[in-house]
Amino acid sequence: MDDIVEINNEVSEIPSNVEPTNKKETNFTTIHIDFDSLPKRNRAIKPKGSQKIMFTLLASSAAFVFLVLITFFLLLIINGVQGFSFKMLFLPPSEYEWSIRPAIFGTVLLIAGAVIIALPLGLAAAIYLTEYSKKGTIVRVINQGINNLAGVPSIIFGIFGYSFFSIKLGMGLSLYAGWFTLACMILPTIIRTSAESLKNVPNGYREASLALGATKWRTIRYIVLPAATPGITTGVILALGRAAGETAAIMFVGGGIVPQFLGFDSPFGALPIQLYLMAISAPAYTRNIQWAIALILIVVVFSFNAVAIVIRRRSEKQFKH
Amino acid sequence: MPSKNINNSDKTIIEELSDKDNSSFSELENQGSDEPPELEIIPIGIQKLSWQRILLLVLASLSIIILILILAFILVNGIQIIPFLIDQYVTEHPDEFLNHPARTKFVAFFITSFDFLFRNEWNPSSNEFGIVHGIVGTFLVVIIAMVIAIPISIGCAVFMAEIAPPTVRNVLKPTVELLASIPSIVYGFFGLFAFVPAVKFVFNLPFMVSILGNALPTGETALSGGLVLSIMVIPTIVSITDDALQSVPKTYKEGSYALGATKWQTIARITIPAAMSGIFAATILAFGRAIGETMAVLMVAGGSPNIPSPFFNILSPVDPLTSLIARGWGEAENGSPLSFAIFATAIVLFFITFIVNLVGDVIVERYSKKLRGA
Repeated sequence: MDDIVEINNEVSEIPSNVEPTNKKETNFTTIHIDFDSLPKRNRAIKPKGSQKIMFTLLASSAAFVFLVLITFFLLLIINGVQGFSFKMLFLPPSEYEWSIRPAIFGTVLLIAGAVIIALPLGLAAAIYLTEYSKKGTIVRVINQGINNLAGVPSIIFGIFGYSFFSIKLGMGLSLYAGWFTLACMILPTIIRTSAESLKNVPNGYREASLALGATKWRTIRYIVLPAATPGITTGVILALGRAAGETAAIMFVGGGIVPQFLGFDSPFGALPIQLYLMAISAPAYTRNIQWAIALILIVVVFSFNAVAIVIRRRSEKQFKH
Repeated sequence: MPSKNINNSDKTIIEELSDKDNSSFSELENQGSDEPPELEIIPIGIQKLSWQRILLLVLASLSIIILILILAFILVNGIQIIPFLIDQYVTEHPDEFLNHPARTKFVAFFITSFDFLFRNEWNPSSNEFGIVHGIVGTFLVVIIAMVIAIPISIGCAVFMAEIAPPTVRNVLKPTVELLASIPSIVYGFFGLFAFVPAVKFVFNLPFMVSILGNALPTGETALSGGLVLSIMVIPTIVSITDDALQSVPKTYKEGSYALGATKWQTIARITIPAAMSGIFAATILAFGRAIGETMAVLMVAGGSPNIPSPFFNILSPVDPLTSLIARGWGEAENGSPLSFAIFATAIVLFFITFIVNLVGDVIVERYSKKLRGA
């Protein structure tokens, strides 16, 4: 509104630009205005100028994020490579004090056990919730609950795991307790990601299969599940990557620094736990070794992610054809 | 003759196709061959109750029951702190209890619960439990993190979604995803040996000391914790904001361009307002994630059992709820009052994250519905 009023005032003050015509024929006056000669609104910053400033700001915030990652990796690699030695990976702790062989072995066992427990349960829950159950209030509440459980702090699973599995069920500080605790932690994530990729299978697939006379189970087994497999795999692998780096949940159920693999009913080593314990208590001259452990942990997690990305890419290509 | 040629080539193509079809059919038959074909006639529209369905139902309900059990177990353990605190109150006020037993217990319930949430006392050795320093610590650290992370990550997301050329976008997006997948222990480690010394160095420069009036004894402060958390939540905000910006219909932008708006005017007045609820949800979900973060905060934030003075003093050590739980649990014996108090703290933490996540999810659902035109 301001702009219009302003222009009108200006116009009435500058008669030279206004040429009234057709005065005799009508009461209306047609006004010819030379647009460029009109006075312009004085702006401190022109639209193009403000665009330049804002774009620079936005680009610099993106550059900042990128820089953070670069610094992060440079520090990690420079310090980690100095501390890295193959002794760490392959010698047992009895021969080399800061060996992480048992920790790597423990992490692998831990993840494998957790996924073996959580995957069947989670997949079954996802299939039942998306394919069989009638969409009602109860299912919606359950879905919402699972969504929220996926966001529960891992430390809560940690104290739950200790007092339930270790104490109540008498597993003590053991790999079993670690498996069940981690399985509880990744179960909601697995249900959620699997349900999502099952929902993404087009309904036409199901209808076509049913129209050919297949039973509901055959449709799921031979049509829906194969189509959803890449999505489910990606979700599960990402959940595993998160579990591999998880510290708080297994801190109390038996994770620690162990001299060797002690059996399934004893405390176990795990990479993140070893990193944590060394960071807070090991002498300062082992700092570079700790950076090396951090580097190895990140390499493990990233390799999980890389596998997930490869699977996703391949499935995307498949669906495009 | 041309027509014959075409026919021939057509024939070969058809033959090839039919070969392919045959092979795929035979594959299907092989896949299904473990089950004999059913000759039983079932009425149309009615499915037989298969054993697979029953198995699935059992497994599904098992996993749901496990999840409910976790919640119930935490609740049951946490609630046991209340009778303990009431007994403690009663033994401290014996006269009152002799005169009005029921009323005293009733009053004690409210007083002790209030004390648990709002009194600044945390002495497990003398059974004094007040977690207000944890609540203040949590919010202090998280708010520092959000103040740093929100502008940077929204800027990054807008740049990525609207301005950046495809090549830059293809570099930035995996970068952000990589940041998201780094385990929190590594962030904590990084914070302990990069941010903590940096904070100590900066605030012990002569110039900073002359402003603040005193030197900083330790770098393990709320500020260091907030800095680490801010890097941890950036990927969350960026990826959800990016999704929200991508799902703004193209016609909105085209309409704006058609009216002669510049690119920045379109972004600022059309795209961002349209994606606003998504950006809001991203912030809230990141907030929830930051509240629940344990290892980084445990290693970096200091762990002092006192409220900072004044309470917004970002240069004092704090003990957020998660690190309070982790630190306290190491000392707690099973079944001791301390362990119940820690479960009660876990309930408080759980409810905070639950509500925050619920609000975020509801907003995400609503905006995705709105933009799909439902």
